[in-house]
Amino acid sequence: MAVARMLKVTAISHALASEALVDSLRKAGVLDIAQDANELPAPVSADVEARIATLDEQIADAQFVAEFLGRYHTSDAPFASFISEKFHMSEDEFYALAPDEEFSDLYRECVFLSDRLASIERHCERLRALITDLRPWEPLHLQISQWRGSEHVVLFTGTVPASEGEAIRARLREAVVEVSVEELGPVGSRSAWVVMAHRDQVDEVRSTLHLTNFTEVGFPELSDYPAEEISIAEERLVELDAEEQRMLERAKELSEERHEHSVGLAEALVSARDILLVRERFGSTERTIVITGWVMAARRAKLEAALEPVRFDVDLTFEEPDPDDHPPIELDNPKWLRPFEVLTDLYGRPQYHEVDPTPLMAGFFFIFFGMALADVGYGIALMIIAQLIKRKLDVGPGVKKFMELLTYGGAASVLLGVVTGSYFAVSTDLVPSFLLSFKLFDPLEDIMLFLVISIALGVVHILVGIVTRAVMQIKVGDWRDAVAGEISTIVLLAAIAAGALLTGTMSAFIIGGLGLTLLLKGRVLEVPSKVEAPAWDKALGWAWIISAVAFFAAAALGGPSIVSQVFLGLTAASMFVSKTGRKAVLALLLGAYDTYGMSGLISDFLSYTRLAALGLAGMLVGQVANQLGFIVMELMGPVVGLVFAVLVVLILHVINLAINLLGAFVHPTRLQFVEFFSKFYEGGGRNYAPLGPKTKSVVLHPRVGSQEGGKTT
Amino acid sequence: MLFRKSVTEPIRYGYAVGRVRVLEGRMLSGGTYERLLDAPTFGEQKRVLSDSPYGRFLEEAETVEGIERGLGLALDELYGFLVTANLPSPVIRFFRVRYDYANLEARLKAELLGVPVEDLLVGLGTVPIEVVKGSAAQLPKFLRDIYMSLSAEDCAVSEEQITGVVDHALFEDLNTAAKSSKSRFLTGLAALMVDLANVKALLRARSKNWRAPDAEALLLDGGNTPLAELMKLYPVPITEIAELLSKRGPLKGVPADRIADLGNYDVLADDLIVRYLKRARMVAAGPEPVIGYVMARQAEVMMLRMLLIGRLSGVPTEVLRRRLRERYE
Amino acid sequence: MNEVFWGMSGMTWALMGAGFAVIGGGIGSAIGITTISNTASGIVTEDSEKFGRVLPLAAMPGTQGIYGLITAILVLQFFEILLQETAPTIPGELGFKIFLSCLPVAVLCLVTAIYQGMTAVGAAGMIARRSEDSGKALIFPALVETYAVFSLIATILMLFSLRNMYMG
Repeated sequence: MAVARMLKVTAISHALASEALVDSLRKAGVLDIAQDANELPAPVSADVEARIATLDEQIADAQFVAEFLGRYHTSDAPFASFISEKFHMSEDEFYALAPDEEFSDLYRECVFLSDRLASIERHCERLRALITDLRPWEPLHLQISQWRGSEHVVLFTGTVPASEGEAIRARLREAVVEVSVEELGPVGSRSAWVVMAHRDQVDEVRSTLHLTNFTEVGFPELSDYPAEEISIAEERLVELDAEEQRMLERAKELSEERHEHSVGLAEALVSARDILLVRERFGSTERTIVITGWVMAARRAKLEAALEPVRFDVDLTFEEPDPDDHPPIELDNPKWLRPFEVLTDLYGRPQYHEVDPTPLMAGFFFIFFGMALADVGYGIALMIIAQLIKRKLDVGPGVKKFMELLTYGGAASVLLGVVTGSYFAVSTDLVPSFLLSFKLFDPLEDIMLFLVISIALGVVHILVGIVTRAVMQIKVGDWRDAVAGEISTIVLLAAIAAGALLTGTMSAFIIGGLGLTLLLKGRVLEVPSKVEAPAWDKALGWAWIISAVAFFAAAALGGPSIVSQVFLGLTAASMFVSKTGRKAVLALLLGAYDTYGMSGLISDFLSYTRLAALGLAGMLVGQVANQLGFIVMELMGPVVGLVFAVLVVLILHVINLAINLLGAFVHPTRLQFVEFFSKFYEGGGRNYAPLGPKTKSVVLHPRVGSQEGGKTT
Repeated sequence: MLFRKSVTEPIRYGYAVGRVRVLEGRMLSGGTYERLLDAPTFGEQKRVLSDSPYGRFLEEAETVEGIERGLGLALDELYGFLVTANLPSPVIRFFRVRYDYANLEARLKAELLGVPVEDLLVGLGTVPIEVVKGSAAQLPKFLRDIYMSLSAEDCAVSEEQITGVVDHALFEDLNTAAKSSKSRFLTGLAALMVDLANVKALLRARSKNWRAPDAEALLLDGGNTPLAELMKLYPVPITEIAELLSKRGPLKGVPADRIADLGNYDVLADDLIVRYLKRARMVAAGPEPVIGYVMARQAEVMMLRMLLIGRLSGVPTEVLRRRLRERYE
Repeated sequence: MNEVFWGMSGMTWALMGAGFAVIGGGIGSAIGITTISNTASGIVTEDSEKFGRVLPLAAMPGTQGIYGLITAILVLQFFEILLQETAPTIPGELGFKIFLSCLPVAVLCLVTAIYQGMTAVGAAGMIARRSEDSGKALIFPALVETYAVFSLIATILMLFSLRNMYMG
């Protein structure tokens, strides 16, 4: 129940046996390989580099094919658009994947298809644009090759803004005598014009047109009648379309046959490359290679068994980690706690010597989640959905673990729903009375109680965090820090609580507690032993400290006022005379400052009211859903009304559940991370990532015969 | 007003920002540049790039022209992204219009020297190549005006004059586009670019000992530093200009000797622009991350061109590495 | 007791408060969801596998609209307006107090939903870069939501007290 114990492994082998050794390590899948610390050169020969280079190339090809075929692949799994598709194969199948001649053919065909499809696409676009451009000229019975004019006549074809047409005509007529304008039709906001003039006047016409917004249009690569050219282009489009269809069909066909294989191949090649790349972390001498790494102590036997075939070539040693080692972290909790590891992983795993926060927060997360989604109906629905996703859908191990967490959350909702008497937020007069006998309070009627419970849970939660930190410090021997930091905080909180509960002695507890906290937080008692001063100086310091203690005791219990006068006098005196005294006074002031810093705890406590607010929010919206259902039923009569009412209620509840689920996960998580972890947890450990296949879409199943599945990370 | 802008900008640019966040992750990493440098041949470099977004553009490239064409297509796709990302048209114009001016400049110079213009044009602008090289009357107004002003006089126009006039128009256009985009970030970027161009012009003119009025004619409006202030520096020696520039304005904090090193000024200018763009990454939603991404991709293409063409034409790895460092650090 | 306060009946004040709460929360949620949804659709355009991961983010600013609705329901329920045959007697002064009680939700839900949407855009950027961080990304917008929850608590407490004082 904590961070798993790790052993440092050093394997030294003859260089010739290195391949077999790495292979066995990969199969074992339990060794997290670390960088060699001896600064020996890595055993990466030119041969290995060449193999990596080849693999790089093959990976690029395989990924291209997988990606290309993936475009034409439709998955028939349910909810395929939400879940990335998984491909299942056995480990042996996976490692046997290699690019062969057939794959090269496939690659070439995919490249051809991809290029051809792209070029068809470009071509079609060009043709479509051409057709749009030609359309206004369609009625023109003049071959495009003749558009520049004949021996005596010149033509200008182009467009003018429709609004300026008249003005341009007028200018043309003004400048040139014999000119005719034929208007063909609109091109967007412009109109297409053919301007005809005698060749003698070509320059005048041209310069006049240049001064206007006339834009020449020409189709230098075409020669036939515009209408003819349009139909040619359209025919060509049809042909291209047919070709595109053929290509797409072929792509679909290939995708059907080869997609899974190509995805598997791409990942298998990446794994193969990883096996080679990991050699960069090895150390080597002329004849031997050195591999250092980490193995979970519980899996030591598995590693040894896997290395059995190479035992004569490999020298294997196991050691406990040194204090300054940074072993990778694996969490090791009982099965029922494991779903909560999702939260720890979200924040970051602990350091090796830190405590695993999973067991500490599991219970709180459970209750918080339940409070934020306190409804029996929603809880059951959530449990069913989570289990269905986990069991029926092809999701990765991380998602499965998360679904387990949600199942717990659903159970918590059921529990808190029973306590608050909420069953799909149905109003209380419709709930069977035996169910309501478990009801402890109605959140809507006792809002204050609900808020107080939330804050009280928050206080407990935060106290657990503070105590954990204190225990951690005492364990490593820093009990002074623990007293000055956490224990004094607890003292003050306990004093306040006692004062609040025992009303008669309130001031006694609070003043006494505050005084004690100031002394502890300021480490006042440690001052004399730390200061280097003559004995009389220290004695004065002690006297002041005793007077301070007496002062607080007197203030709390109502002692004679002479005590405070003595205290003030001694304070003044020791401030001037005694070095120890000065330091002690300063320490008390620092303690006061630290105590003031505790006011942050108040905002921490208040933060937990969100649980009550979320719980109420879900409940109220649920009630509205039910009420709307009743209104629908009243409006539409008993039969039709019932159907629609059920529909309305169902849809609204689904939406409400979805939104509240988000809140019920995010806010309790935030309370863990921000309010709870800040009291004791650092995190920042590196995940345990043993050498082995790292797949994304491919799910590997262990070989038949080796039953040790272990936990998937 | 500020509140309204902080609401509308994430909405308007949200979609583009979302795409950029994913696309950023697909940009080439430092490791890829290293592998490109280490790759002994162009073929090897192509293999390194094969699973990057550039892979399919470079697949058939064997020559310098092929690389240019492939990278041009990659840039074209990038600008296609700008269109499909629903960015306001001034923002798109801001990025593409420079190619229109570059094409016009190429055409004018080609006409001046009497060489064919075809090979010099790039199809990345807002105006198709056919139109740029077609009849002057068909040029869009913003290009036609420049063309007319430079070719109408039909007296001797020097190449430098062409560059000057075109640059003026370009920066003016960039400024207008930035202003009408209403993005303060883009306006700032345009102003920074003008400032940097002005400093360059000033230093170059000073090193050639031009007369002050001639130098002033080179300077562009729209920068953060007023032109009068720049011209006040003109009479002092170049090292002192650099000293003064490193104390204020856009070049504040840059060592004076780096400013005075005209040969590497473009590298320095790029660095300063990159520094400006880096601020964009911190903004969660708005035009900044999108603009930053597009500029970064442009820089990426430049870098790739340098590495690929350099390798193909046998430039030593050390030289390439030095150029890469300068651009990257 | 006066039926009318500042020229409006108690019922009018109460309904106005309830309406403001719904409107404020609703506008906020609509803007917030639009903001994050634009970015989310941008991310999904480039990487469709991220759909499931950005969807919860896009739903988050929706809660403020619900808080507005809850406030309205409480007003209707506590002061016996909901599903009644006859108009309830709400004194003008009580109506005005109900109106004031609705303001925390009306204003704070409007503002927090908008800002939550923007925070979610940043968080979506995290998911775009690294899918593994999708759990962490949910936490940041949830920090903003705290204040919407607090406004709801304040409003509920005020309405609750008013009911106890005036409705017996």
